[in-house]
Amino acid sequence: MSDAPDPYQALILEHGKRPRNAELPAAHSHAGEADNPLCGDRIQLQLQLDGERITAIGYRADGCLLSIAAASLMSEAATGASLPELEQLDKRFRALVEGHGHDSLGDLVAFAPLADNPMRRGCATLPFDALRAALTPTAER
Amino acid sequence: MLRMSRSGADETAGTEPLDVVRLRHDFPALEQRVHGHPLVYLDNAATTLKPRSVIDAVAAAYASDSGNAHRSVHALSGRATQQLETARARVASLLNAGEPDEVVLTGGTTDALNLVASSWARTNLRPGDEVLITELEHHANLVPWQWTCEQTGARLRVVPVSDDGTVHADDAEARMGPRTRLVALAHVSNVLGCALPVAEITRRAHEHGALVAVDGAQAVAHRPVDVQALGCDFYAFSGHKLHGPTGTGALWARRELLEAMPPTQGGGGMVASVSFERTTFAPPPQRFEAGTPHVVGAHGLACAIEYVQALGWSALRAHERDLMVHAEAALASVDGLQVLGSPGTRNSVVSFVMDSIHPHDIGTLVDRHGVAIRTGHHCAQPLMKRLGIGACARASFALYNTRQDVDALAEALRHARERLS
Repeated sequence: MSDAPDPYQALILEHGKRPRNAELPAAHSHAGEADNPLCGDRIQLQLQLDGERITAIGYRADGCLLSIAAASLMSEAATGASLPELEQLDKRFRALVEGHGHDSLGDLVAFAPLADNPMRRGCATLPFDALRAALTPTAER
Repeated sequence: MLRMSRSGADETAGTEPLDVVRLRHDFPALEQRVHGHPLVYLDNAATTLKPRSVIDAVAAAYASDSGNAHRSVHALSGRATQQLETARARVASLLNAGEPDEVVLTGGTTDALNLVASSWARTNLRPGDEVLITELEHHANLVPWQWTCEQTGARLRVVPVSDDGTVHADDAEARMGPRTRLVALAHVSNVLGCALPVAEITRRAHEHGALVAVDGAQAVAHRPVDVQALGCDFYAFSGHKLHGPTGTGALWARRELLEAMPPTQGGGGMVASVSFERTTFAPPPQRFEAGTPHVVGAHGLACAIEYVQALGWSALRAHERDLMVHAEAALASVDGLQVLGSPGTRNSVVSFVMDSIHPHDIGTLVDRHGVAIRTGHHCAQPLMKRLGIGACARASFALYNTRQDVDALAEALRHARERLS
């Protein structure tokens, strides 16, 4: 039986304990929320799009360390990104935690061990669900 | 040497303690290592491990007896029929039912409770009638009643959990009235581990003209159940929480109730006669078992019941009580840990929170030490709200657990706290 790697890597522990951007921005153009029905965790996310770039992103998270660390690392990666870049980030991150490669993810690659822990994938993708909700026009939801 | 730590010494009089070292060899799943550690399986309230006798019986049934029950006249069908009906009788003996035909074989507790809701309750509830449940119910003993109330115009009422983390018969009776038609309650809480005063609540419910349905999911593997002594009207349980196969379980109901209940699924095996003009139904329990039953599962369930019964309830109870006393002390020694509910009320289930650490983080980190526990809301969200938490961690015991398992949990929790604090 393969021994799955530990998902609690130093970088994740550090971001989970001291999350960056863990407050809602002063102004926002997009907002979204996501819930994890398995545990009741919830993330509220807001971002400010100025022109083509995200100039501010923040969130309120009531969740486990993995979800908070994911929100923190995602917020760092999202700052300064364009919407198409964010969509790519979202796709790549979901592919990573499902075990389908880890291209151009920067620090978020720390979540690779979740490929072997399907029960916790939803924790790490929760902030990305909130991001998708924020970027999806209301009529399409 | 196992010793009784609380009342109930009479139950152990003259019995040998469980030979846990020996019986652990009966469970092949316990032989594995998880993340480099021997498996410490403390998630028995979610599902239990299976003894070799059950695994072998299921494999043998598929290998050679794989006929359909109550259908053909050949030898294989005969064996399948015999296995199915032997299982029914074995369930009847487990619950001390009056007769095997009071046992409907179901897919589990959820299936059984939904059968009561969609058959008895849909037929008998009128606008303004009341269904009484408790605040600690598993969603399986809540959602079906909520739906049925919406469909019939009946009203769902809730008995609160008291501050000591139990449910009191007086609090239940205070919510009973002339419109109370059904009281649905757990035998043992899947979160707090407390046993509800089912016999007393049943007596009072009957005085108010209400029937009583019991969710026995967390009871049947841990205590002798006597539906006649409880006096209840419906009793549901799952086979997989009793060391049997998943997808098995039963609903017991008094014969006159089953006879008056309409079927909820139509198909083969549940009819007396069928024409395009009219179908008449088979008597219970077949009326409620449309389609090919889970014959092999039922056979495995019968073997599981046989396994547990052979150990003896007194020895099993004494062993699990000893584990709980040990667990309460071991968990109290973990800094920042708060156990939910009250000491002395827990039956094989102990739930806790630790500082502000999220239960899922605790669950994954103790898993790294090979310790399997459950974390989350345990399908009891209203109870989580009552306790003022979103989720918690839960350790739950079975006959093969040891004090060493409990110590391994406490040690893994200390490690988890160290890493996350």
